[in-house]
Amino acid sequence: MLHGVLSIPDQDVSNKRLLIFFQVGIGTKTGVGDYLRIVADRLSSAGLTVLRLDQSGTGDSQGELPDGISIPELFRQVQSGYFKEDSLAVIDWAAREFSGYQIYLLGECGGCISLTLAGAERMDLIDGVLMMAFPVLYSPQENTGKTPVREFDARVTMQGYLRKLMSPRSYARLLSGKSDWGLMLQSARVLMARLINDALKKCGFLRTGGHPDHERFNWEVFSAFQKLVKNGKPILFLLPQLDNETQEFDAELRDKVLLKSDIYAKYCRYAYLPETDHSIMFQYSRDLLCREILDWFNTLENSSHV
Amino acid sequence: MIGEEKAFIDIGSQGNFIYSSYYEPRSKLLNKGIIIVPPIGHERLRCYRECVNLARCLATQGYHVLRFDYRGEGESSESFECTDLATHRQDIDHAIEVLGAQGKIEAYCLIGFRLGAVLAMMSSSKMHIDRVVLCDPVLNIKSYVRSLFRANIIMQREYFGKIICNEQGLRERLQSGDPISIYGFHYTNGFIQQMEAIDERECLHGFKGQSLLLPFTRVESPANKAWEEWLHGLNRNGHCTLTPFITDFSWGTKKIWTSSFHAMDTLIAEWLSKEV
Repeated sequence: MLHGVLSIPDQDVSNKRLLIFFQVGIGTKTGVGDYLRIVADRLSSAGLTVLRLDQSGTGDSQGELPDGISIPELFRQVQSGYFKEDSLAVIDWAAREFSGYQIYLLGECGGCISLTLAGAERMDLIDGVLMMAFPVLYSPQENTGKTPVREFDARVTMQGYLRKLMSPRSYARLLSGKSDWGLMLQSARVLMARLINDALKKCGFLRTGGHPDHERFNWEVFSAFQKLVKNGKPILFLLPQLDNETQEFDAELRDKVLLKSDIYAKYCRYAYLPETDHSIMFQYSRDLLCREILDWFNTLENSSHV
Repeated sequence: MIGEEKAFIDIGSQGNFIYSSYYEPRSKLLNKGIIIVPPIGHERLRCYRECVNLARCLATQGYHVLRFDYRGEGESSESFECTDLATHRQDIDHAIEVLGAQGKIEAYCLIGFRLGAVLAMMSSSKMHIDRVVLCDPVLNIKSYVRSLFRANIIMQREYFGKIICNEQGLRERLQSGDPISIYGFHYTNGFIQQMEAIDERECLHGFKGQSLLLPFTRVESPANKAWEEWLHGLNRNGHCTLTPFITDFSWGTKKIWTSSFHAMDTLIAEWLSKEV
């Protein structure tokens, strides 16, 4: 049995909409800093019915996740559809209990995977999808006990070091061995690879064939996502700008696929959230997130009246 | 869930409520009630599943168990920045009343985690509860508060590549009325100051009952100075058993998934059964 909390609007609304939140998969239904609860409360004050739930083995739900598994490995399992069955069960339950409602699915990080895989199999039951910090790549595997450096982190690291170029104390620290040389070199390598890749593309030596080509690209989820689009489901991407997932989304999905075809332009909308981290920890980020979601629903409503 | 009741309990006026989870006893009825007093902020989320499974474990052993969310956290009302130590302590008192309403509870025990352990001690003295379990209590609160500031500074470096506001700057911001985000929880100046004003020794000496002190440690080692101080303080007017719990569990980043403190749950159950 899964446990969830339903937030119901105080006022009567003519356009009944249920928004189901799918948390990352290893947290709880309130989210980091309880931001999912805060956002759900605000959306329900604005007229949306919101359901937040704990997947099996998390929060208050029954079942157990495998003890002792590393978190990166658990992420990979989530990214492979570990919670797809739970998501299907929730959608089926919601469709029965909320007859007459439009049903929208909102995922954060791994939750996007779960809802995309499930939504593609319940096309008739859902009306649209919102994806926050959508992970398009599988998490990298740890080879030497160290987590590989991702592009956003590499950029932040190198920006930090570049700022210290004029600081003698920083050079002393560097030469004393106290700086993390390994992190610096890895970060530099990641950024160099990106620069070379971009340069080769600009010069025409590297062509993207209009399809993703990253070795860790999540093809199964992409296939499910394509089904959603082909069936005309409106999709809102919520993209925190201080986030590795956004970096990878832009490079591997948006630039290589979404911007190259009209069908995606028709159904996909992108809301970049400036100064916002992966876990929506700041108050202004939460305000912005709520505004973007409500704005999107208003747009849907207006376009349905046209 | 069968045997588990979730409820939003009204407390006082202004529409405030706390969210509670009651776990009814599954086997022999012991008429003993246990309230799990969670840590505050991100640490509550860090051990959420472990606390759920601790509650389920103790319920199968025959105890009435209650977990709850403080106001400003979880599913309870209010925003975090509107709460302080006083509201947290009131919520523990409310939780005790909620559990008492479930049935014939003849004796209570509070199981507190981290700062929740300190609050549990304070509440037990006030509510005349003479048994507490202190799971990795915050032994030095000023040091704990400094670690909260450090967490914000690390977050600045992680997201912005630089420290925009050091500890002094963050304190000035707090004093000007702006909350600061620590793992997404927005702490106010009042809350920070109240935490720093807690006198651990006064709490220890004020407790007159039986306690189980379970500090977390990565390796087996003789009792350190902080543990000894707490043990001595709790033995001054009561009786305390010190049992370090060896674990890799970290209150910061989760690297390995754990759903339960299996060995600690067993330790607690054994101690409770001896005290019954």
